[in-house]
Amino acid sequence: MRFPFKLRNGKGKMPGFGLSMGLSLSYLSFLILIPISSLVVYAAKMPLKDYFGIILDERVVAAFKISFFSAIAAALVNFVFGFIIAWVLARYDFVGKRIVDACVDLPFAVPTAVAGISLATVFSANGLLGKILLPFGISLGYSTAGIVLALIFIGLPFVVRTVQPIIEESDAALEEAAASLGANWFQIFVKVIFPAVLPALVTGATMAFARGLGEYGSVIFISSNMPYVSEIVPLLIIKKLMQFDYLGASAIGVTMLIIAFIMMFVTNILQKYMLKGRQS
Amino acid sequence: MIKTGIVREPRRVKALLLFTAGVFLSVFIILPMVTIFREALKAGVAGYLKSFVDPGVAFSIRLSLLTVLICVPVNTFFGVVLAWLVTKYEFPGKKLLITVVEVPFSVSPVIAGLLFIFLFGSFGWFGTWLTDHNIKIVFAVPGIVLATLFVSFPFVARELTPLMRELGKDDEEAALTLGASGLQIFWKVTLPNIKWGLLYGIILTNARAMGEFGAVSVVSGLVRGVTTTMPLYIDILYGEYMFKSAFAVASLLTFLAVVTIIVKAVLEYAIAVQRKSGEVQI
Amino acid sequence: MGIEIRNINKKFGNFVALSDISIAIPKGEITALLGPSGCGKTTLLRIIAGLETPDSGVIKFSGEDQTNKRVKDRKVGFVFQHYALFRHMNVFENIAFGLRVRPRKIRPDRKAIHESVMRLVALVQLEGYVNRFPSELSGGQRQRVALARALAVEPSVLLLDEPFGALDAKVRKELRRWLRRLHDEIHVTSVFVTHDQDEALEVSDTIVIVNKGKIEQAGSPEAVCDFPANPFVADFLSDINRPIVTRKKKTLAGVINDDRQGI
Repeated sequence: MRFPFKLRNGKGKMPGFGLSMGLSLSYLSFLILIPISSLVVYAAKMPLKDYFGIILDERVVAAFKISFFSAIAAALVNFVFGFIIAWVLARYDFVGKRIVDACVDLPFAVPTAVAGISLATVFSANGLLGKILLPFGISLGYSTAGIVLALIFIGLPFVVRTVQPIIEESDAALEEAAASLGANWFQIFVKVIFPAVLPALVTGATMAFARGLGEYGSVIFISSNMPYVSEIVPLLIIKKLMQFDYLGASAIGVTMLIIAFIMMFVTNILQKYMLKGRQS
Repeated sequence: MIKTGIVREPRRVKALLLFTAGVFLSVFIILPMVTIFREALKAGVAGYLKSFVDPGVAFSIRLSLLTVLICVPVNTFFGVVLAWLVTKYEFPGKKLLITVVEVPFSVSPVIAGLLFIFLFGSFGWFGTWLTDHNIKIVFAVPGIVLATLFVSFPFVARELTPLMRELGKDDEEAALTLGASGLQIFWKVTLPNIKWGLLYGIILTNARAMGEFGAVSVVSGLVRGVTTTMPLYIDILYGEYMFKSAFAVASLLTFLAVVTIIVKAVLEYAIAVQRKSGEVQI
Repeated sequence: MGIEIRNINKKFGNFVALSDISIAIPKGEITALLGPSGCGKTTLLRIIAGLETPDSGVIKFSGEDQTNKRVKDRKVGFVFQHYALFRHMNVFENIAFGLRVRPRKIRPDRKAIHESVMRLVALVQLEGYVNRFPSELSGGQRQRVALARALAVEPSVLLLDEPFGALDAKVRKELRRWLRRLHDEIHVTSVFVTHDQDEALEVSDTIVIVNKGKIEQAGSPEAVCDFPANPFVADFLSDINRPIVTRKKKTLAGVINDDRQGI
């Protein structure tokens, strides 16, 4: 199998191009491209009017709002605390640092359903933390607070793992230069360090936000899942499926797919911008 | 290391930051993890072990292992092929290909499951044909496997691509000039160089395949004793207020997660040491 | 203003970086700290700046003790080896940094800052470049921005760490001649670190030769070349055969114009 275009590296032609290309394309088509087309084609059969009828339905709009604002709130919390954790891990030495560092990866490794039931238990009215929060009138049952908590857990590693290497690699001479020019520590932080870290921080928070929009497993256990109040979009899709409302599910699904592609595009651009800043 | 103690933040700021980070991690990570084992062991070790006698639990463990046994080798194979393709050759559309690989990480797991419903469901593209031939994919084990393949696919390719790009293709080209075949080059030259990265990718694939919930839950239809993987069975047990059993199953998956991050930390450390000593290229 | 260095000791773990260094650096001149890599010259420069704390010893500027002053209070201009320009700030903002971070009471107003910065921009011949970012400048131009930024705070001493080390050979030669002429105009007490004998001989008024944390010899370029104090100095300078470049007073513009095209 030969491909019609020429390899750019003329001299050392590695064998296996046709084979690896064929295998990769077949697998990606089978696993990703064809399934996506099947959903898109199904949804494309309905008239645009019906599509907007589904998407602009009050309950669907409410679900999108809830998903959107919970993901933003969680991303903002992670923006602040993820930065602090990355900073502490990158710049301070303390006992057990390696363990703490590894713990940050737990949300990546723990299944979402497990995270969901444990967070729900910790923050429930008689859970370890719920008990402390209850007297302050903070209860998770009937608000979006529970959703936000779950999304904070899920999104934290995105921010920490994006920002931490940038702080670690930052050039000490920049801070020394600022100090020699008379800046105090706060000025050095605000004017020199933070602007250098900001692109990474925004990238990490955006990734956490994108992940939060689609998150399902950890949320449904801690949220009360009430329509108009705490029902997220992925849950609504599942409910539509269970009611055999395939048109509804496909319309919302395609919308989520489009949002996911937009977020992919945005994070890609941010990452490029971030890398460009680091190279100069 | 930064040696200029002179320009750093005051000690109380440092203490405040350490305290904040500590509290945040305790509340959001340590406490939930401890809770899992606390709840699972509420009735003592004997009660904990008894949870696994439940045939539903035993079945879910078997089904999860079966899923992993299929998905990990398949995704490892195709992940390696893909990483090889995008690092050893130049071709038009390469960027697009790399983007497609990232898709499973970017879409919601629920959407991942939904895709296979629309492909293989009774009203989907292959629905009629499958019904005619009496093949069940959705609401059956094949659906679970497909959804899991989808969500756990990118890990190996994603770990290997930057690594293989960094290593370049000098070694492989040297082997080529010495007359090695493609497969020989891969086994004898490439694989030894990427083995730690590959292992890392496999471990992440395994963790995700074992723990996937959203995608699998859409295609499973929750047919007890047929499609209930461990995460799905946790959902069922929790919904039936059988918290002790739910947390017992959860504790197994948490244990796996902890092992995963320990192996990750060890591999990262090993790779860093190798880099420093320069004796191995990665 | 001269710099007085007395009995400076510095260890990093078990490694003795500087051992009982004492020297007076003359006011208004350029002094080179010359030595092989790892000899302790950069550590000495960083101790003068206050970026490193000595284990013992005293640093005085014009008789005033600086030993316990922090770097931000010492009024030193420090030019880093790789310039350490703030890459999210343009040339103007980089140069203005030292003025803008002053406490409100002694901070110049916007107009005064603008005037100082533009004066420095003219001095380092970067008039058309104030809105450029460091990534849009050549190595030689970055080096001059770093210098202007250090001079903006009107430092009592100017310290340069391998100022030409990161430049290619051609630019390096042009810049060091230019630096010499610049100094002839502004006369700030300057110390620079180098491992390049030619560079030290061409640019400096006084050369301090450092080896293994100790001063081997200090004196004018002619003195150290013609009368090396010991075999190390003789050996270290042995590959210099050509006569020392005579310094002509020339306008800056001539040299810099060449430089611009060269880079």
